[in-house]
Amino acid sequence: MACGRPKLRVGPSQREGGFTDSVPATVSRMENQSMRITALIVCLPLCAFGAATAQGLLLQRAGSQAENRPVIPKASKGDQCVADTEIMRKDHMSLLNHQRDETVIEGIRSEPYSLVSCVNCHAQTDTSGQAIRIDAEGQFCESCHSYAAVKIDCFTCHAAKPAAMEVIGNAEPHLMRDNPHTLVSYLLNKEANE
Amino acid sequence: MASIIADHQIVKPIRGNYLVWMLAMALLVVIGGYCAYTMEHEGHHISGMNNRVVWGLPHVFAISLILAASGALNSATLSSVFNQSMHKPWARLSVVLAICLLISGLLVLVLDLGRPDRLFIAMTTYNFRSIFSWNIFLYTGFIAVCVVYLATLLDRSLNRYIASIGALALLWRIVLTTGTGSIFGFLVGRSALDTAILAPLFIALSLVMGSAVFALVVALVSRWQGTPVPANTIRQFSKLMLWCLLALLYFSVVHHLTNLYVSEHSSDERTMFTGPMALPFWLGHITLFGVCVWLVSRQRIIEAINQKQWLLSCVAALFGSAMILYSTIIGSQLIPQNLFPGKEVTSSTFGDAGFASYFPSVWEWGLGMGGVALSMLLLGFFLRVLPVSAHVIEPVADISDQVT
Amino acid sequence: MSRVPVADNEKSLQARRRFLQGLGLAGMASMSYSLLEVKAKTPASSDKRWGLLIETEKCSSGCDACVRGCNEEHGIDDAGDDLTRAQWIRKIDLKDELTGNETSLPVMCQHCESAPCVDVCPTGASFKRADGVVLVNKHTCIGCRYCMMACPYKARSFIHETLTEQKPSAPRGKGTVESCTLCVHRIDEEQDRQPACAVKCTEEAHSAITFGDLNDPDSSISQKLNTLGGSQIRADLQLNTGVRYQGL
Repeated sequence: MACGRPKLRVGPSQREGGFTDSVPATVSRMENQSMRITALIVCLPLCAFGAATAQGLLLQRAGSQAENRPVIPKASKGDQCVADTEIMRKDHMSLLNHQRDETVIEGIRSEPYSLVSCVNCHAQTDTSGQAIRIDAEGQFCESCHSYAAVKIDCFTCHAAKPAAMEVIGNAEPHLMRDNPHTLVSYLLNKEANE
Repeated sequence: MASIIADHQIVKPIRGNYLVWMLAMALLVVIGGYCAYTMEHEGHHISGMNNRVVWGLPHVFAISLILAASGALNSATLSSVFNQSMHKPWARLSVVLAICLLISGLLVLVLDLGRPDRLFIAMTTYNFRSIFSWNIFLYTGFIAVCVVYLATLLDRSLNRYIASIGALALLWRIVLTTGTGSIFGFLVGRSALDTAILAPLFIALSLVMGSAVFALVVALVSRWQGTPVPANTIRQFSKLMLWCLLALLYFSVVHHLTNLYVSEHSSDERTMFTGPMALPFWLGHITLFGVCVWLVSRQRIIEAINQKQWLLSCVAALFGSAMILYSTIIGSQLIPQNLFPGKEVTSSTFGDAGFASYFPSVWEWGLGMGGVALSMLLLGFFLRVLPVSAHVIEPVADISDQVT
Repeated sequence: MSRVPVADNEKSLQARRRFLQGLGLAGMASMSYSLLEVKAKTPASSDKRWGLLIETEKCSSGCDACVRGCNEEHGIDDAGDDLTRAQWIRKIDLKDELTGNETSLPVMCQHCESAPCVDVCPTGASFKRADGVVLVNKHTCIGCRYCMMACPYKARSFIHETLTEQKPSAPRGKGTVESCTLCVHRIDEEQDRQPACAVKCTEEAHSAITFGDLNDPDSSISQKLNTLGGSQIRADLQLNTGVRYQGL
């Protein structure tokens, strides 16, 4: 390695160059080279980043042509999502993010795009009637996210199952409100009971 | 002005165990990375930190590295701004070391976060009332200024900008260290920290830590180059160290004496002398004082310090100032926050009475040491690719020094 | 080119039909919102300032009803190391050094008007809502713990371990800082809904915690503050806390 770049070695003749004196040409060539190396150091990560992006794009294209698409379980409750499937597939995260900020910062809790509502409708139950985590393998969120290779960062904090009392007609009204159609079901149910 | 004859080289991997050193540092960095990952994955409960002692050893390491980064610029500042010819050959090394130390310090700080994966948020969302936010700008700006500074030092065609960029770097490092001190200086809830004198104290700490680290690095590089550090350089560095130590001791004494005087803080201040932090507190101060006395006696009597003594004094100064930083950061958290003056807490589920205790875990040590090793690894790399290590030919300088 | 796997013509027609139906349902839903008088449709407003009054004379040593209520409501596990687990409320017993008077009281986030935690947070994750509730936006919290260094009340907890089985209304997770939210999810939902600690305290017949709007002179908390008075912990810091103590 040391012998790989003989030009960079400083010969005895240069050692006599005073610090403030003019510099022998070899030194400035050497410095040019080191500048080039610096530039290389800066450029390498950029190149790597570019390559990774290109690879990502290629993979995405290949993925869309693949046959084995994810099997996404149907929602267990309700018959209509808060928005069209097309919109939800594409924009669910921006809808969630937008409402998340409104709810956390401003305290608005009436909008329909809450993660709790997603879980309430889309979480499945197992054969014994127990709720399954929505991010468990093959479940609503996970099936698509593992297909798209996008990490979900919601359920390390957020509940991945509906609240225990989440049974239509039995729950507290405030729990139903963040989801229009469960609210409607609740009202219809209440009406029927009365 | 003495004209020192020097040129700059890249280090060669064959001499002075360069490769062994680099491999050892790389190993430590890997261990540090593993420790950070484990602490992240398991959660901070495996560390010695808890909800009372929220900042621990990683913060001591990170702050030390950041302070040392600012202090490492001493030689560059003295050469570019104050035109001290002795320091001229060391300016490049000084700037490169500052960059390496700061990057490592920041990395340790980031890797100790609860959510380091959210670094992007930290870099894009700012609360400008927070001194922490300002520090993010100060740190990244410091690196930028140093990179430009280095370019002006390296490239002949940019040499004419050295003085102005050097002055900017000086200004920047003062603001940066003030900012770092102010992270702790405005914490009204903690009696040991609630004082503006922490800012100058941290500047003094940075001078000592930076000078010490820089001296050790100069010795290391001279080993790699196979040329001894000139006696005059050692003498100058020791003199600089003495002044820095005196400044540090001065601010530390003022800090603690004023705290002792203010009755609101005096009982907490007394616990600093006798409480759980007494050992690092006294160890730090006594070591620094000892180094001071020793340096003074050396300067006065024979003006000759050999390389071993010099390096030992630097290690001692580094140790002493690290102890002071440790007792300031950790000690302030061990003291219970007094919510109810005039009342005694007879029971609490969350330690409102009595000292907290803190024992750093192996993970924190690993992360901290990994950070130090990273700075050395980066330094070794830059020394290999950039002509920054000075080769000083002394005799001429020595003679002219004595003449003037 | 479409990335939607099941999108032939008929299905998209169905989807469109469902969407239109959905619009109708959404309309119904919004009507029924007004029927139920949902308050949280409007953002938290600075007309209000939520606060708590704690009557220490009614608070008894050894009772931790408020702590239990809080833990249940937010799914906080009270097992494990006291120093690393979350403690949104802690009970403290005090003895006056001069008179020997004994007092017992809960300490939680004091919801300061000029909160040190809000000032120091680098990302602005620690913030104060318009109605005075100090919260952590855990989506932007990076876990630096500077707020915990700054808090004079030691009211914040850092989550040291992976959590599971969180409550839908109380998202909490490893690596972020949290503290008393004044039960915003409850008080936003319905008028006159109380935080869990106050509810539990009343349930266990102490009624030592009063929750209400400090800005409203007719609210019970303002009335009580008028007649009983209420001091702040560390009033010397002039943080204007939203939690006040009577008999301290």
